[in-house]
Amino acid sequence: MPSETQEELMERVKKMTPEELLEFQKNRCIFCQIIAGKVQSKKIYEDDKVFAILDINPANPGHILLMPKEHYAIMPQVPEDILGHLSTITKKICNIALKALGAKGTNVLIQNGVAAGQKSQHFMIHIIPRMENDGIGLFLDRKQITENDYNTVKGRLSSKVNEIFGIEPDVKEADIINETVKDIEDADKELAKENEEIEKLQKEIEGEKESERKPQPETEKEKKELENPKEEAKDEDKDDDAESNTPVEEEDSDDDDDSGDNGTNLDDIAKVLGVR
Amino acid sequence: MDCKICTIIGNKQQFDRVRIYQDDICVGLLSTRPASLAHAIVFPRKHYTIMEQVPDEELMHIFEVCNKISRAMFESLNIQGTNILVQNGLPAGQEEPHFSVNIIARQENDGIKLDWQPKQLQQEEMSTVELQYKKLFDEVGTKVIHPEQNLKTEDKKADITDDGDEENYLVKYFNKIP
Repeated sequence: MPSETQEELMERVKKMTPEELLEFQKNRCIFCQIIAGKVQSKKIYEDDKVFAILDINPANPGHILLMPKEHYAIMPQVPEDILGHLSTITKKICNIALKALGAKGTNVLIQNGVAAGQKSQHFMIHIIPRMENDGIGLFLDRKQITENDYNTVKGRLSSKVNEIFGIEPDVKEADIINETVKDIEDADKELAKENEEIEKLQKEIEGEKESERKPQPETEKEKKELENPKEEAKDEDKDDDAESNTPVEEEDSDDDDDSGDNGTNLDDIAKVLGVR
Repeated sequence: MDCKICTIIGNKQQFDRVRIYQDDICVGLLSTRPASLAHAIVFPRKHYTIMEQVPDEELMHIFEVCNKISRAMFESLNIQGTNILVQNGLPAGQEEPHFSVNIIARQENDGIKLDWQPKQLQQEEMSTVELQYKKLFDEVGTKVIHPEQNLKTEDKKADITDDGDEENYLVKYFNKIP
């Protein structure tokens, strides 16, 4: 397919059914070929479900890639039993890395999606043996966030977690979540209103400016101040777009409207990986 | 031992403030000092310092919970990726002496560096490592539980078989921290 441009390919991928997409990804997946024995690798473990090889570009000696034999692009697609099996093998490999290589620790890292640093389109678990002061930057840079932001995220995430696990939150909890969601909605509405007013004001200012035909330095300043809320308004628009082309599971998100609707379509994440 | 995480789980008020999930085996908390816009951490209820001490059944369950929380992040926040990160041992960046799994929401160009500089190894080096692994693979560690068998065992009897290395040196390590 060398004559196909990236855009054309993306178009083609977008039109594929999930089955076609899976087949398409499998054919292009180097790890599927490694598992099938068509490409050489340093295999260190294999059973009927999973496969582990040494990474040829390791973060540290002994860096292992553990993956299911079946092709999955990201973790949410992996069946529960396979994931469970992968976790026990992960533990086993960590144990061996500590003993065989004299590692002083191990990192287990899963990357879901290109934004998370995923480079292959085959789901895998990185197991990285660590030595003291080996200079690998896998530490977490913690930030401070405002209580408001924290509660927003917690409200949205909690209600979705409950939905996925099928948990009925107790009444008190549900109230709290609903209140938070309501607060968020109210804040959004207020923001939208403010933005409208600001736009109005801006138009008036511009109108005045034209009538006076003399640009006032003050208005320039005001304009700058007004830029921030405007940007937020743009962000909101984007969110709305995302909502409209997110067809996933609309039936089960009902009463907690806002909380569940601006999510990401997992298929899109998988599709992007298919093209790379 | 005085564990900060055990204290939080034990204190209802503190716990409810950060909790997003809980069951008999593990709890999911939302970090108040996140590495990205949403950063959840799953802890086993029981105190284990490192992954090697966590029984297989509990570990499987924890990973499944992580998967679902990661899915919840995808579906409720406008994000393009998630990282699942286990920091096992001090040199791996572990912050608290209580085993945990981090789930970190990721957005395009969020500037979070969870990456590494690949090393180029000599062929011999690779082969040595390969041999070291293979030699030990069947000798140590937990017995492999096949997915078909007892995935959803109802008895929650902790099945610490052959992985309880009595006093793993990594645990000793943690005991040294003031």
